Amino acid sequence: MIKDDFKIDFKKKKITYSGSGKKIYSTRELYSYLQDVFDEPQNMRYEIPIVAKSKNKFELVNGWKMDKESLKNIKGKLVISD
Amino acid sequence: MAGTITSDLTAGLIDAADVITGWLTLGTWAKAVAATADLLLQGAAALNAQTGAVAAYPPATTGMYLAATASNLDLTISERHLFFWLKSISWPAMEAKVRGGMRVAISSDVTPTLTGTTPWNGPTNSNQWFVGGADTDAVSGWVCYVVDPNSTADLTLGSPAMNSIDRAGVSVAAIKTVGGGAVKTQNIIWDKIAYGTGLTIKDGTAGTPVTLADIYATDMATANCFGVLTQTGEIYYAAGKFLFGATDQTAITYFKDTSQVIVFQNFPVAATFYEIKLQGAASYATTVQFGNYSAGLTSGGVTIRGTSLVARRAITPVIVVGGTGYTAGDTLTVSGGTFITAAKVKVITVSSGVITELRMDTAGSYSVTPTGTLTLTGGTGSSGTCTLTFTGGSIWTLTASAANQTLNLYGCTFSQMMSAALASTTSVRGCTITNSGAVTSNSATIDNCTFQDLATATPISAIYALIIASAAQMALVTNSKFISCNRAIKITAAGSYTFSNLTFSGNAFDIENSIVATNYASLAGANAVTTSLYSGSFVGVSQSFTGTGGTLSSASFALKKTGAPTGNAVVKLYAHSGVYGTSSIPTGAALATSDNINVANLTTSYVTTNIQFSTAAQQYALVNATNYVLTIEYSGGSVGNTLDVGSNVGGYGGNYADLTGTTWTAIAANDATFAVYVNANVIINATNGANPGTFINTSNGSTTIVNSVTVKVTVKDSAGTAISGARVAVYKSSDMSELMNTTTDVNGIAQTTYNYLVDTAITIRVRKSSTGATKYFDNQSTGTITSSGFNSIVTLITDAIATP
Repeated sequence: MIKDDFKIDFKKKKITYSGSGKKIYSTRELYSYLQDVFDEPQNMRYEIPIVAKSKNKFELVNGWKMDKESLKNIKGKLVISD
Repeated sequence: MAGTITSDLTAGLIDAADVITGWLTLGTWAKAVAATADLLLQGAAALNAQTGAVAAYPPATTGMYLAATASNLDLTISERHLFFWLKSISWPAMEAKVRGGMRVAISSDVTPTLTGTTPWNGPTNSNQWFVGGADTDAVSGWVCYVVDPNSTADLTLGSPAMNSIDRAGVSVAAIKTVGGGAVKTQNIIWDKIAYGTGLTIKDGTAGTPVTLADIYATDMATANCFGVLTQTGEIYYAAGKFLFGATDQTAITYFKDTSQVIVFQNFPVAATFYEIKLQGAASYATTVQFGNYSAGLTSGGVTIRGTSLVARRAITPVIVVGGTGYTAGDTLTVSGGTFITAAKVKVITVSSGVITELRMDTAGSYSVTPTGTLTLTGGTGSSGTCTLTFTGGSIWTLTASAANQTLNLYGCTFSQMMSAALASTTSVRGCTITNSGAVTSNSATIDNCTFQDLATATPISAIYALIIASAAQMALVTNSKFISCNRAIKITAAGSYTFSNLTFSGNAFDIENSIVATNYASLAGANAVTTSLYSGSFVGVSQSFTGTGGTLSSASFALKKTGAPTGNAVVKLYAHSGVYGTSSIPTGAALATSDNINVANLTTSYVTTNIQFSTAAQQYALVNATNYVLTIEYSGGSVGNTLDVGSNVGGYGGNYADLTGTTWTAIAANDATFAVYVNANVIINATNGANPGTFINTSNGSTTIVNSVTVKVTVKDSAGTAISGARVAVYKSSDMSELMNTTTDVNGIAQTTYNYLVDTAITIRVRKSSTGATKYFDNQSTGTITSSGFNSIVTLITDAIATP
């Protein structure tokens, strides 16, 4: 389950892979998961971390980051803004 | 003609100026004063004279003519003012007003003699008021000048006794010769001189009310010429009191007029002299109405105003420091104040460079007059200072607070009104009150009015636009605006007040709570003992006291800071535990918690600091004979950055305690400097778009503004169909504190209420992307909550990328 494999640090704006490494997720799956998480009432105060540029291209925004190790568990185009 | 108009000026006649018998000449006239029927205004004749020849300027020539008053006439009683008809037909030949071109003079000598040096001369033991001159009255004809004999005169010679006057008359100063041509003009004319206050207007009916035209006709009848109401160019000029009705009248009094302009004239009268006052008898009421009101609309309003509050002038310089190096004839400029033209004084005489006599040279034109000892600049010397008296500008008072009278004001504009005292029988609709003083409601109906530009400067010196003494009175004030007032509404009684469509802008404070809170528990000590509160050390100080009833309004402790502590402290009220006065400590949950006090704003010296309990829930009802503990608590700060609380060794019946961690420790011998205040709570409920936002408690009261507005967000899809279940969150943009966080209903609506105090910038987030339903791209926008609330429609775009 993606919700078990990715940790979200809302204060530090970091998304970190914490799974076993057995499953690689698509950027679309990550996008869908994060959108679902961020419409929860307790998360509304945080800016959305990811936007879709197209069905296959996504971008981390609003200062959200993923480290390189975590990115290894993502397949597909994911732009990380500076 | 309707109405019966009388005046106390009839009994106050000094001289009708029909004959010269009894008049006394001083100074120089080119021709002897004579009576003439050709130029009469009042009675059988007027007196006239020709100013003396002037060889060159300076000096001017002066002439005076003084009638005999009743022996030892007392002009200090009953607001007696002098009314004197004067006219010059050669104003350009006269001196400027500042040097006494035309003057009203009184002397307490039966046979005064001439004293002083031209133009600063006159009768012995006299006061002279400079009422006109070439610079101010160039086109004036007959003017009934009115003077307060007890005001500061432009020129005082000797020591006149205002309670024992024997002479009153005219004094003039000319700077050009008149009568040098073929026509030997008698250029100075005067008529009736009298003392009194104004007019009494009675009678009239609703069908045939008294009008201003009626009053004017009586006033200006040849037999009267009271001079209280004159008219030029369809504008009425007032100069006295207008008393409508009487407590002993035997018929009703009814006055009504519309679409008129009344201007109270700029004469040297007492500040409280000009007045419109109503009174009536039990069986015979008085009604006064200005303007019309029909079907909810006002029309035909009357403008009533004073003049020249922004053009006050300086008189009567008094030397404070004579300075050094000055020369007679030096012209010195007065420093300070807000002016169009600065006042200037002229050095008349010096002694070894030190000023020994100073006179006005330019009166100046001030909107804010300088006060105290004034610095003088210019001339050949330095360090000279003086004081000045400032005069000019006319103000008036509206008094309609008596019994048996009704005042209806519809569509009127009042300005330069010093104050107004109304009654429950007063209706003020559609009126504008500007550049004026306080209106005291006394249960008047006030609707659709504008209070603007409160006159805070001298002579009105207003603090409030409207004074309200009860919630019931407030309920009668509706749909009105308060703009640029120092303090818009003063509330003098505790209670819950409704502000219905009362809007405020540009005021220093929209509300003043001036209720004097009852202080029944306090100790004002010298703060010999200091307890420093900061994280990890003491975090609270308490003091026990015994309640005697009342609803908690505020409390105070002696506070200061050391270093730079930040964050908030609060005062709390607790139930009492322990032995009162020995081991008192707080127990249980707080019964009430105060507003926050920002410790960073404290000073480094002890100040008795009052903190209010501003919400109704915190205004605890104290029980008589029950012990309580008051605390101040602060858990921020650090070593060297502390909130310091002052206390004392003894002095009060309760006792001090301090808090470390969660443990209170009592010290029987000590008492905190503290106070508890009750019964001064005001709750403002704003409705119908009212927007009060600021308040001040001047006497330890507590004020709460409740202005519930709706914040509403409607969420739709791109087809315009309402989206149910979308999450909508609204935050204050300033600190991202949450105002709403909910989901839309079946109509796509998410809403909440918000206590509006000021326009508030907000951030709105709408999201719907949960598994199992249609998902949408998130939406973020900004907006502002105004006094009308917030209402927005957000369109969400379907997100086909997110997996279901």
